[in-house]
Amino acid sequence: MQTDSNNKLIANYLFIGGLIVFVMMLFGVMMLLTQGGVIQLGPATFYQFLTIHGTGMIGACALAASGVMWYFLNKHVVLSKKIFITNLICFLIGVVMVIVGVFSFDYASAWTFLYPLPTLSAKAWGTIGALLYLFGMLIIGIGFLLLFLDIGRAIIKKQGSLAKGLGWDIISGKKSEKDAPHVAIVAATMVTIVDVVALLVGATVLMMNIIHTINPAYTFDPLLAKNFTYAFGHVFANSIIYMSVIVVYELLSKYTNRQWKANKVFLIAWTMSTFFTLIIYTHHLLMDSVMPRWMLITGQVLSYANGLPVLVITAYGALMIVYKSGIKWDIASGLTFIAMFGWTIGVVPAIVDATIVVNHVMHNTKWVPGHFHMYMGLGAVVMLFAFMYYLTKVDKQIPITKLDWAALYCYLISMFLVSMQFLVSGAISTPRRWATHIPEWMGPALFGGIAGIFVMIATSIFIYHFMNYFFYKNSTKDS
Amino acid sequence: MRLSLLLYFLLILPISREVLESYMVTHMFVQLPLLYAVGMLFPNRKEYKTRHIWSNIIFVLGLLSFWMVPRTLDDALVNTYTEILKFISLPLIGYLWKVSWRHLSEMTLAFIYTQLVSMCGLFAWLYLDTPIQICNNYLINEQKIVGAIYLVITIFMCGYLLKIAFIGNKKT
Repeated sequence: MQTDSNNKLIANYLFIGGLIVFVMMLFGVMMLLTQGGVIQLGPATFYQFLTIHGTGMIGACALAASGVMWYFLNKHVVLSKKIFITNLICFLIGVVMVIVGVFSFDYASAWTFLYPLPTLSAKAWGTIGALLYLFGMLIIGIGFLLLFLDIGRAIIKKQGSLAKGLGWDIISGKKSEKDAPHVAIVAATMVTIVDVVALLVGATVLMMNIIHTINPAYTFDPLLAKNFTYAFGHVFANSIIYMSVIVVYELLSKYTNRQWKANKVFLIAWTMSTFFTLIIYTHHLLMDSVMPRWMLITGQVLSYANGLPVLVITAYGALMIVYKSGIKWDIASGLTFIAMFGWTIGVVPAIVDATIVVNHVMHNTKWVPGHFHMYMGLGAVVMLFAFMYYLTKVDKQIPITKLDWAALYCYLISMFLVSMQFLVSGAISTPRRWATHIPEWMGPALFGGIAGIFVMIATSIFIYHFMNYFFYKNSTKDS
Repeated sequence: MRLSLLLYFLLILPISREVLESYMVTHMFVQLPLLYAVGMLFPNRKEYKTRHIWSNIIFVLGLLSFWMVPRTLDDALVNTYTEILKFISLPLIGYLWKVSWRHLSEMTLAFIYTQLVSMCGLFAWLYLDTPIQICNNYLINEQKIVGAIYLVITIFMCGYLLKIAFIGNKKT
């Protein structure tokens, strides 16, 4: 009974997350069609859409991914359901504030809310819009902070410390590999460490922006503010994939009947990614010539190294666990496996962009959206959809139709095309975050807008299938 | 009880008030914490019920937020009522926190602690970085010292957080 109630709550997380992702896709498509010259949004509306699209996508994916992590982690440690509900409530309150700030008060600084833009908008928006957005983000952050503190508390209670949650006692040889923490605990420990740091830094920079918005006489160092903003935003967005990847470990283990055990290499890789994830946000500041040189070089080198340890051991592990396992492919296992492919190829444009000489040319082009649409759209989000199908299968035995399979292929092809048009746009030097395009830039944007419509169709089928979770009567259980 | 009253008496003396309130650093980091300590040292004769704890905590956090606003420090110097409020509310914060905090869950304590880390970091940044004079009664160079102290406090608090998380603590 308790499990049923927990799973319903997790399903709510995923449904709300999935629904917001769908609506954000609509804004994304409208922006691409505007850039493609098909519809006319007007610059002010475009930048409002840009703000809500970026903020909403990251927030919704983080919400759904935290639900997935909670589902698997709760099998190994004792988590607080009250905190889990509180996070959802905070999220919803924050989302309403952000929506009102953006659409009723014209706030449009993009998710980056880079100081001093929230205050100095050239009268594009006012104080109330900025405050609603900033306080909304703060409340969402408070909810997530509570959730990660609870996860950290539970891991410390089970393992003794977060160091042991990352398996440092195994790495140092004090314990044998057979005593290693479960893979879900290792991943959750990593996410807890990086996200608590990110959220604390985020709270500081949000409060600083709030103070500046209320009284612009209080000015701050913009470079430090930018560092803090990306130390919050990049790390938090990056952690979504590390929450979602638990799906890969758990689902492929179940489908292949083979255990995915944490060994020394696995633990070292997760420890490396923990530190690198916290440091590499500086690759967003490679164009800031006033940044200390050593930080920029560190940003470049560690950006190369960041994703690779966990990515390599997970991709390799996924191939090994599936090899000659006699796995029965369905949509959940298929999506899980394909997500690894999306994650792997999605990292490549980021590594290219993290090279300082390339970054100076490419960072302000659509190359960067190409990276994160591929990374998130074909990696993290696919893992979340995989979990949605898994949950409907194990809890409700909802049958999979040909339409679901069609949606899978449609999603993968069209999402790949959306990502590619961004990369092609980047390659032809199309600037990002521009409401209007010259004719030479319009072709890929229009193509992306059309591909985006197909992504939306496929996503709506995924969500429709998952919606059955709440209404479908499980005949096996009833009988 | 005696120690608490003695400390309160010493703090309320005009000479100690004048000395401690002459400098921003001593006002903020000596007088205010000592007034808080007065409440902490006050003996607890009443066993609080759990249902009272949250009203205490909300009251404490509300008052703390009030005293975190730099303007209140200024007001306490020029407005007698604010000064009286300071000498009543801060010992009260100390006392209510003393009788309440043990009843809080480790989650709540962790949340309050992490919020304090974030706020101390913000104050360090605010006092060190902002070019304007925040308090009318204290000079800019004094607020820089306050900012530096906040920065040190933030670093120590982060260090303690890391210790709890990575090395562990018997209580946790």
